Order: sequence, then structure tokens, then C-alpha cells
Amino acid sequence: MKNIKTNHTRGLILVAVILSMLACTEKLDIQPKQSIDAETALTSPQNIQATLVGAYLEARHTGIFGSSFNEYSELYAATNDMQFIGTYQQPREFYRKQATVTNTYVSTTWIRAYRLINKTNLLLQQDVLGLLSDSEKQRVEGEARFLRGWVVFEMTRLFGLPYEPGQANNQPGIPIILIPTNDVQDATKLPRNSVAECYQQAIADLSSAKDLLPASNGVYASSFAASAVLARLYLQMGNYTAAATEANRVIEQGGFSLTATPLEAFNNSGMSPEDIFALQNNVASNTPWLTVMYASLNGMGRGDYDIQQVFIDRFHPDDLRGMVQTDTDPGTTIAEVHHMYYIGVGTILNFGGINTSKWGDYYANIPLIRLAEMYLIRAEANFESGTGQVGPNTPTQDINTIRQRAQAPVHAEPVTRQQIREERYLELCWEGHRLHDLKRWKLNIGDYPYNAGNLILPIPFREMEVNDLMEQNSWYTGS
Amino acid sequence: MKRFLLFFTVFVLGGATLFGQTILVRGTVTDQNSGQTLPGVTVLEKGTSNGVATDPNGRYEIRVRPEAVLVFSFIGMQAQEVAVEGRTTINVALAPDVFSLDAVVIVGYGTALKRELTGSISKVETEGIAQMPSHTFETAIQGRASGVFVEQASGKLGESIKMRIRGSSSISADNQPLYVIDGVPITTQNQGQEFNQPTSPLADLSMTDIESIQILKDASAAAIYGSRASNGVVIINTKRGQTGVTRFNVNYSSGLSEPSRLMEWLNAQQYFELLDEAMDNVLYDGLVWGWLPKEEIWRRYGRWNGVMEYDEDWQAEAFQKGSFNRISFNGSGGMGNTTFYAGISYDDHTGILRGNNMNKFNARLNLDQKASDRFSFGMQMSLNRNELERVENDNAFATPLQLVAQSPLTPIIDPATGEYNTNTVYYNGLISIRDTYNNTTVFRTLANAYGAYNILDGLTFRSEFGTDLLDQREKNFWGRNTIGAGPAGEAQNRSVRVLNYNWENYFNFDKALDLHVVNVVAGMSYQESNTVGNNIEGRGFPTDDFQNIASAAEASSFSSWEYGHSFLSFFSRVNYKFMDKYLLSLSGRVDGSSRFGIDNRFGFFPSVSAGWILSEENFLRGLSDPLSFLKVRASYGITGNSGIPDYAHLALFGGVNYAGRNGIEPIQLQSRALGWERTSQFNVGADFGLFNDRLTFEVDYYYKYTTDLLLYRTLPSTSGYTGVWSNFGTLENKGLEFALRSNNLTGRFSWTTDFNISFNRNKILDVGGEEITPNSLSYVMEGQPLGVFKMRKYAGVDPDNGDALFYLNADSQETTNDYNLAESQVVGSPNPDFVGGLSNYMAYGGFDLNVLMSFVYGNMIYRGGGIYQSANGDWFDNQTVDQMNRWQNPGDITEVPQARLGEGNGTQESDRYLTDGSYLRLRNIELGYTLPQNVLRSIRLSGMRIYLSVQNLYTFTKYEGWDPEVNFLGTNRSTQNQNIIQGIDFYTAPQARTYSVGINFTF
Repeated sequence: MKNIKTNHTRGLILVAVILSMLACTEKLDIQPKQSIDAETALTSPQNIQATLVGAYLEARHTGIFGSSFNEYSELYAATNDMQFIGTYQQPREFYRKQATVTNTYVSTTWIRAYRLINKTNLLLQQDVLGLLSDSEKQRVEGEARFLRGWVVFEMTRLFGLPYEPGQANNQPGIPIILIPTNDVQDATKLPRNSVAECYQQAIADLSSAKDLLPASNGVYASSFAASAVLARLYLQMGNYTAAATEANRVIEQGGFSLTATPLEAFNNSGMSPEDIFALQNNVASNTPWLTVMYASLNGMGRGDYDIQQVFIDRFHPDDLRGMVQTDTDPGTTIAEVHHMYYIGVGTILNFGGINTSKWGDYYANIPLIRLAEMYLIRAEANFESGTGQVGPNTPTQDINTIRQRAQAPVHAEPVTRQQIREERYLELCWEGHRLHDLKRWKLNIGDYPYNAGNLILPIPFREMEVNDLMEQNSWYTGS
Repeated sequence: MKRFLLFFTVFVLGGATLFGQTILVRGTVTDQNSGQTLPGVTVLEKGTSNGVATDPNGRYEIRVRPEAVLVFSFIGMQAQEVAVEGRTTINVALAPDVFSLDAVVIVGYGTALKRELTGSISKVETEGIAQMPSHTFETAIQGRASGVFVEQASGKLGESIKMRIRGSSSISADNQPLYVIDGVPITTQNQGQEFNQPTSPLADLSMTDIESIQILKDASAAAIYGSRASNGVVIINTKRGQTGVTRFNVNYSSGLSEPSRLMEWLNAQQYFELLDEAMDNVLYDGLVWGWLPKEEIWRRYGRWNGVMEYDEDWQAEAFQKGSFNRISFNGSGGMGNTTFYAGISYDDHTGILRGNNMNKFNARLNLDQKASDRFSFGMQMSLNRNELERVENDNAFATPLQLVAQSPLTPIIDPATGEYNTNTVYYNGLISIRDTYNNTTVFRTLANAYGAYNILDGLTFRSEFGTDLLDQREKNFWGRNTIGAGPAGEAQNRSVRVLNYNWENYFNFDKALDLHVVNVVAGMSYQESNTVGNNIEGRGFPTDDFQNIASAAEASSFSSWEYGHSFLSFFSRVNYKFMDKYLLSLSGRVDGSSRFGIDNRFGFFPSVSAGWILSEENFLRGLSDPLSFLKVRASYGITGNSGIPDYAHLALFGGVNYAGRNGIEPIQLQSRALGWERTSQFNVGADFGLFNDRLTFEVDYYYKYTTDLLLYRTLPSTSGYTGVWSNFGTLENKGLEFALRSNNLTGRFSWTTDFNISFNRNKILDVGGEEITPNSLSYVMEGQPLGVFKMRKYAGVDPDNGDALFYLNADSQETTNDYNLAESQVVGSPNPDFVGGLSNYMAYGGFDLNVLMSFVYGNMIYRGGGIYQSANGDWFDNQTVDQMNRWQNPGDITEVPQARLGEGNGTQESDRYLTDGSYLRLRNIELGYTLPQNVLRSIRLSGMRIYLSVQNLYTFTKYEGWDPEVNFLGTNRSTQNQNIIQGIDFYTAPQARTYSVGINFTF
């Protein structure tokens, strides 16, 4: 009897012990292990620098600088020079100049561009910059403004109707957002600013970046990179003097030089002497999409962009930029390609067609602004401005600098407008310039006039759904 | 004790009849399905108290009058009455009866008799599960439980299965039910890598150890699991031993499988005819698109040299001869205070898709010990290893079924090399099948220990600690010749470990006072789950023979992750029964989750339900023939859902890498007030028993209203964020369920029919007016069911010129040949109008036949591959044969537009590719034979059954794709996308048809 009672007591003690161990509510405080709280993220110089690195990563995203900005331009501009032979519906829509509001390329672009803008806005908060030493502060602010200004410019010319020199440019651009989203309350609905306001904002940011940034900044944006983007922007606006001035600054003071051959400017793992700004790829971190779309090599690329012989025929037979390598086979890699074009090996799609060698390696850098473009800008701007030559070279000399590097016969003085424009086409093809050049020159694309509503992107469906202040581009509303 | 009582009865009361004219009747009682003998069956002379129980070998002896009727009854079995008619040997096979009103049903933290339930619970027939040639046990539920919709996403092995209990109650949070095995809520989230289809952690478990499956559907049944109960709860208990001699059971089955349906593709001649015509229709100046001559287009894109040499059947290359083998061995029994169940099983599946195989090994030991009159304890433990060989995701050129896109004109084998042809229209996926492996191995340990202490009479305290340890390794290798892995191959090693543990402590109090019976459960539980993982990828191998990352030239990717969550809960339930006819149940649970903001962590989930057994009332007594049982019941309660990612309420920055430097970036915004999603559910139902319960049926109506939806609410992405987790919006599900069991015939020839049908209507009520779509096909829209299809509406072909036409807008019959001008409109729903199942079970002599059919009606399927597969020769993808009906001449009336290479004539996404997905499937047919006892005795076995079965013999459907049971989630598989994207097919594999034979021994 005693024994049973003891057992019973023991049992009750056990029950009591277990009950007393009832887990406490602290057990619900489980903190993340692989991420940090946003409140602490921007409180140390180290983390601020790291956030800046995160902004460059964003800029490299497929949806913006990493690939889509290039693809929109080349697909929309394509007429008989390139045949899109891929199976993906989204790029096919741009190629047919018939995009839809639900195109996922476009929504990705929109989302990623504003993610980049928000990242730069986070860095540009005064209390964040205030945590940095003066030199660091200048550099971080400069780089953030560089990225913000540039993406606003690129987005404006894709989503807004063309900038018309000398006009009010009240046509809608994109919403300008300069305040970071720290909380859901900050995620307000905003309407589109005018194209004029967008250009103003881009100029303000890039000019400020130009002043703040050092002359040399490794693989990151330098003062010359800001000038180079400004040159491109002013050219787009038809502000030729300013374009020539910025391009001239880069050429004469930047310390860049053209690579020995045109192809050497591409597929590099480090910065080439010609790179003013390049997105950095390596095996561990890369945006391979341009190569996926343009290349058709051993294990790399679909070769969806089939370059046409009529385009190749524009090059002088000696021009290195128009040479086609024909001895390719399914084992060929970019290391074995020594011409600017090659016959696709068709591991995936493009078999027997012509592919560009500019984008031939998933893990190689993506040059976004090369010195060659600065020569072309200076040439064109000086030719068009009519207000006196900026820099030491005549337009003909600048054009011939490019042609000589390509071993193409030089042009006699003076070059014509047509020759300058043609040179731009031949040198910068497949790098995302063509659409904007044609619009700038007010030239038709196929049957569409340069300012046709179907040559700009739609505001994505998801954005229209969630923001009633957003105005859709009229071609997409059927009006 | 019970047996002693029975002996006592026989001895004392039965003694009286000894002097009358009595005979001695002997026999053996077996389980009709398994053939196993049944100990402990009560054998009663009808109308008397003369009775015995069967011995451990299932045998009995009873002395009765020659004209007596014997009643055999056993818990969980249908009672059977047999007239003696002077016979001295009567062997009886009892049929299991999960629908029996006296069946015991497992509810949360306890058990109940079905007749006394006030909530809605389906108990699933588990009898045949052990021999089903299936790779995961959820398939056993398909068509067998009302209110439960089970859908296999594809015929691939080991991939996840969708289960919806009474519809979808959430948009962004998890809609899968909570699975509780032996009291432990287990890990059910896919742990596989993102670029392939989700795998199912449920497939790791053994099918042979399952004793019972019950599904808690309404709020009153589920609210005791408050948190996460909005989607219903699936409670699974594994087998336990019973005191008596040790019994062994061996089961072996083996089968062959093949795809249940195939699609018809063009042969070489048809393909040539269609594609050549497609080019002829786009000739300008004699050149295709004014660009290249036909021969050159054929060579470059058709990969064909113009000589008709081959007529390849690429579809056949995607499949292999499937097979299935399962062997299981288990023993159970007990002596004195100890009972045990021990089992091992081995499964080997060769899938129907080439390169898709799975084998698993499961071992289990369940042990229960009574230490004293007051204290008992025990442990259940299982070790599982599941090895899965996978194929690439459905959206990859390398997945076997994308082989159908290849041209029949191009050879499979390159005659020049004898190897797989590399000069094909698309990448030849056979190279991947040859040079890739994609292996996932899971080690899974489920263990659960408990102690129960009887404090006072009727008051018990129970503490249970359970763990679910999942360790998953993936090892993948892509050879240098496979797509994307050039020039020197790629490999990946990935591992994940999920430790999920659960501790529960509760009191159980039973008290009966006169006509009042009370049962109270009260306790707490704490659950925590932690996941750690890492991934490394390398590229550049010396040759394809080196496949370990150690040989890689460089690491191309490396990462690790770690996250976790916890739940702390307090719960109580009171059941009250008065006069055996008035039933009342109250339950409440307070749950806290680490996933929510600190202010809204805790949620309270109450429920109330009541039942009234009308047939016990005097005013219905007169109707007891035919109305033997009638109960009405109603319940109302609130359940919660927390199926969102860990840390969803926090503002976070995560790590990134650019140009060899580490960076950070904002990942998500804070959602301070994030709290529980709540579903209130009203249920009213009735249970009927007719003709002495030979016909039983139940009917339920429910209305579920979900508020504070855990919605990943879309933000203007100009904010830098696409959304934020919030509690916003409402939706509803309402439905009707009906389940019936009829013992059509009893006796020597028995025939039982089960039928169930469920209607559910889902409707989004409020999501702030916006439309949410992950793929521009499936939408969330107010006033429409979740995942409703919205797209352009196809209007057929213009007879004059062969142009594809689309309706301009929803309200008019006006058409246009300009796709962009056509308005996107709601064209159908992927949600079925009703689903159900019909099963017939027949037994005669030793033979038994079981036929199960399941059906789904009224849902639409979008065949995403249609824009390539049935595109009137728009490109060089091989086409379905119906494309030969293309428009050719003015005046042709057809649904297939004129063939125009590369011009997209009607090949955009539209409801041209949307078809009715209704089907009726002969899911399982099983014919068994149980050897008679006299034969068995001579070979010293206590049971032996041989059986033949066919799974998915035939599917009646109008669906044009491979299989109407389909869902491809696309490449972004967030939970929200998994909820919204339904009924989409994209080169998705059909289910297997499996023929198998098996044998089962008991000794």
C-alpha cells in the first residue's frame, strides 16, 4: 500500500515538473539567421558600402542593364538586319512591335528599375551618408546618383515617347521617386512625371555624380562614367554641345584607350582599356542572359537573334567588325571564335545562322559604355552642333579612329551625316543603341514612324492594377 | 477481463441450455480483406446472452440451438448474422467497416465513436493501402472521402500532390492540410531545389504501416488544432500490437506500368505536308518571309536535308517500361503488459518516364508498455530512406516529354556516330537522360514517445514528445554535352536538414454520472521547426567520368540557409453527452506563432458543436424500421492559418555578391501587425442509418468564410517592393457533401457500395479591387473563384482567309483577327463543380473484388504546351494530329487556322487551348482470393490471399492532353502561385497505368 502511494506521489511530481516546464512565450522569438533587420542595415559604414554593392547587383539584373535594356532596343529596331527566331513569346512581341501589357519582360524591367532606385534612395538619405567619412560619403553619394540618374534616363526613353528637342516634352515619362521606402506607408501611389522632368532629374543626378566621383574607381562608376552617360543623354536630347563636351572630357582626360581589335572589347573577365563602365560577371555571380539570347556555342546560348546577311553586307570586306567565322562545330566555345560573327552551332536553337560574338560567355563582363561610343558621340555632336568643334578632332578624324581600329578603309574629309550614322550602326550594333538612335534621327522603323505608340513599352498590367494614378501609354489602351 | 466475463457468461448462463437440444458449432473468423484470423471477435447467439469470444487464432466454439442465429461482431468490422441451420462448422469473414456507426474515430487528442461525433470527420478505408502500387499514401484517399480533393500534379514519382479539404481558404498562405502522424505534425513542405518541381515529403513514408486515416473537416473537429486547421487536418495513426500470440504478415506485390494515356502526333508524311504548306503560305518572291528558300529553312530550322528517310516516334522515347515491386514484412503481438508492432518494407518503382525511378525502405517499431495500473508509456519510431531519381522540370528542353516537340523527320540516333542525334529541331533531351543524373535521397526519422499517468479514476495525464527529422541530399550532375552544361560539365551537391519537434502535455478527464457523460481534454503543445541547408555547384570537369565536385575546376555557386519557426499552444475541449442522445462539444485553442508580429502573435480559435440522436427519441422509435439511426448535428468555429514564410513580418536585408564583393540588399518590408488568417466555418449535417444500418449515409452543408487573409498584397513596385505580407481581404467556400454506404448484399455473397460526392464553391470576396495574376492566365478577381482563367477568347477561323479570330470583348460576338485588339475575358474556372468516388466491394467464397472509380467534373484545363503543340504548323515543333484539319481553301469551315510558318496565326495564349478537364477514372480494380482455412491449416498458415490489381485502367475524359489530372506550377513556385495556378498542363507527364499481382501471408 505504501509502495503504491509512493508511486502515485512520484507520478504526481512528474506531472508537476512537466507542467512547470511549460514553454514560455520567449520561445516564439525566433530571429532570422541569414538576414539582418532593416533598422540595423544602414547604421554602419560597412553595411552602407555593402548596400551600395547590392545596388550594382540590381543594376546588373536581367530585367534592366544586364540584358533587357539591350534587348528592347535591338528587337524593336530590328527590320531586315536581324531575324528573331526564338520560341519565347515575350521578346517575340517586341520584335513584332506588338507588346502586351502582361509581358513579363516589361514587368520585370519596371520592378527591377524601381528596386534599383529604392536602393539608391536608401543610400542617399542624409542620416545614412552622415555616417561616412567625407571621401567615402562623396563616393557613395556619387555612385548612388550615377545609378539612379542612369536608370531614370534609360527607363524614360523606353516607356515615354521620344524627347523632342525644343519642345515642352510634357508627354509622360516615369514616376520620379527620390524618397526611400522604409515602411509600407512609404509605398505610395504616384503618377508619371513628364519626359522633361525625367531628363532633368537624370541630368541633375549624373552631373552631381560627375562632380562627386573620383577619376578612377575600379570596376565601379567613376566621374568619367558619369560624363559618358551624360554624353549619351545629351545626344538623345539633341543638346549637341553638351554631348560633345562630355564625350570630349572622357576621351581626352579619362585615360581610356581602344582595344587593338574590336572583338577584344568583349568577353573579358577584367576591365578592358576601352571600358568606361562594365557590369561585372564571374562564375559565382553573373547575368548570363545576353549570352543566352545572342550566342549559339557549345553549351552556351540559344542564338535567338539571327543576324542577317544583308546586315553583314554593310561592312567593307576588310572590316574586322563584319567578318564571319564559318568553321564552327558543336564543340566551339567563345575562346575559339576570332571573328565578330560566327555560324551558330545549334546546340539549342540557332543552327547555321549568323550570331554575334559580342555576347559569347555567361561569365564575362558586360561592357555598357565603351570609349568607341564617345568618339562616335563627339563626331556626331560636333557635326550636328554647328557651334564650333569641341576637342582636337574633326568628326572625320573621330570616325576614322574607329574605322582604323577595325581595319576598315578610312573616309575622306569631310564625313557625311550618313557616314557618321552608319558608323554608329556598324560599331555599336547589338549593344542596345539602335532603337534610340533611330528615334533620335526621326527615322521610320519598318512602317512605323519614330514616335509610333507601339515603339514604347506599356506600363505593366500589375502596376496599372495597383496604382490608379498611373497613366497607360495610349497605344496600349487602343486609343 | 472482457473475455473472462464472456467465459463466465457461457459457463453460468449458457449452462442452462446444456440440457436443451443444443449442438456444438466451431469455426474461424477472419478479416475478409486480409484473410487474417481475428482474435477477440464476439460470437453471440442472437436474442440470448449466450456468447463467446474467438481465441488468438480466431477460432471459437459455441453450443447453441440448431435453429439459432449467430451474431459476429468486432470493433471496426461490420457485424454479421449467420443462421446455424444445423451446421457444426461456420467460418465467417468479416468485412471492415469504416462507415459503421460504432467505428472508432481518432480525433485530435483522443478518440470518439462515430455515432457520437458532432463534427464532420471522414474516416478513410485503409484496408487496401498496403498493396496499392502507388508511391505515396495520399493517393489512397483519392475518391474515398467526401469533401477532399486530391490531385496528383503529374505522373512523375515522388512529386507533390495537391490536397484541398473543402476548397482553398487562402490566396497567399498555404492551402495544404495539416498532417499529424501519431500525434506529431510533420514536415510537408517541399525541400527540393527551386528549378525543379516540388517533391513531397509525404512520399517518404511507408504505405504498409498505416492503421487509420481520418480527415477533420469542419471547425469543430479541427479547432482543437486551431492554428493551421483552416485547411483541415489529416490524422494518421500507425499500426499497434494487441496482446496475444505474435502474428507475422508478409506481403509481396509486383507490377508493370505504362502511361495511362498517350497523345497522337503527326507522322513524317503528315508533318512534311503541314510544314511545307506552312512555308508555302509565307512565301514572298519565292522565299520564306522573303528571306530564304524553303530548302534552307528546312535545313536550318527543321534540321532536315529534304530526304524522307525517317519516321521517328519521339513520344515513345520519353517513356520506359515502368515496374513496381513491394515487399513488406511485419509482426505484431504482445505479452503481459507489452505490445508491439514491427514492420519493414521495401518499395521499388521504375517510373514510366525515362530516368524517373524511386525506391524506399521503411522500418518501424511501435512499442507500448503498461508499467503499472496507473502508468503506461511507449514509443513509435520509424526510419525511412527514399531515393528518387528525377528528371528535369516540365519547362526544360531536357525533360523527357519535351521530346514530343522534335520532328519525326529527324533521326533519334545520328547514323554517322551511332550516338543520339545532336542535329535536331530542339536540343535532344535524350542526351540529358543519358548524361545527367539528378538524385535526391531522403533519410527521415519519425519518433514519438509518450507517457500516460492515471492520476485519479477518469483523470489521465499524458505527455508526448515527437520528432520528425528530415535529411535530404541532392546530388546532380550534367555532362558536358547536355544543355547549358558545356563546355565541361556541371555538378551540384545540396543538402537540407529539417528538425521538427513537438511536445504535448494534456489531461484527459472522463466522468459518467447517471445520464450525464463528460469528457474534458486540456493541455498545451510546443512545436518548433528548424531548417538548415547548403548548396554548392561546380563546373569544369576533366571528363564526364569525374562527377564529384571535388574534381570541378571552379565553384560556380555556393550558399547556405537557416531558418525556423515555432508554435506555442494551449487547448481544451469539453464533450458532454446526455441520455445518449444529446451531444455538445466546446473547444478552444490559443496559438502563438513566431511567424507573426509581436502584438498579434496569439490567436484564439474556439468552436462549438451539438448533435441530437433523434432515433433515440421515443417519437421516432416507431420508425426504427427502416430508420435505425438518425442524428442531426451542427457546428460553428474559427480556425487559423499561418502558412507563410518564416519572418514574413520583419523588415530584412539579405546578403548578395557582386564582382567578388559581398553586399546586402533589402528583401522585404516590415509588417508589424501581421497576424492570423481566420476562417469561420458553419457546418450542419445529418447521419442516417436505414434498415438496421445496412444503408448509412451522411450529408453535410458548410459555409467557410475567411477573413484577414494572409495576402501578399501587391504594392506599387515604384516603391522598390512588389508586395508585403498583410492581413487583408476575404473569401468564402461553401459546399455540400454526401457520403453513402450500402451493404447491398450480406451473407455468402456480399456486396458493398460506397459513394461520395462533394460540391464546393469558392469565391473571392474582397482583395481591394485589384486583379492578381502570376502568369496572365490564372487570376485572383473579386466575385470569381481562385485561379479563374482569364484570357482572349478564340472565335475560330475566318472561312474566307484562314485567319484566326478572337472575340473583341466579352459582351459582343464581334470578332477580330488582331489578337491585341481582343479583350482578355473570364473564360472558365479550374475548380471542379463536384468531385467524388464510387467503390464497389464484392465477396463470394474466398473471392473478393474491389472496384474504385473517382471523378472530377466541371473544371477547365489550360494546355500551356498548346501554343507549340497545336499551332497549325507555326514552327517546327511536331503537332497534334488534329492540326491536319487546318484551313486550306476559302470556304473551309474548321477550328484550325491556316498554317503559316512563324506568323503566329492564332497561336497566342487564348481559350483555344482551354478544354473541359472533367474525368471519370477507373482508379483501382483489385481481385483477390483468400485460401480457405482448412487448406491453410494444412500448410500451417493462418491467412493467405493472392490478388491482382490494375490502377488507372481507363480514364473517360474529353481532355486533349495526356492526362486531365494535371498541374504545372511554372517556375516561380511561391505558395501564392501554387494556390492560384491550377489546371495548367505544360508537357506534364500522365499518370501510370499499373498492373500488379501480389500475395499476402499471415502466420
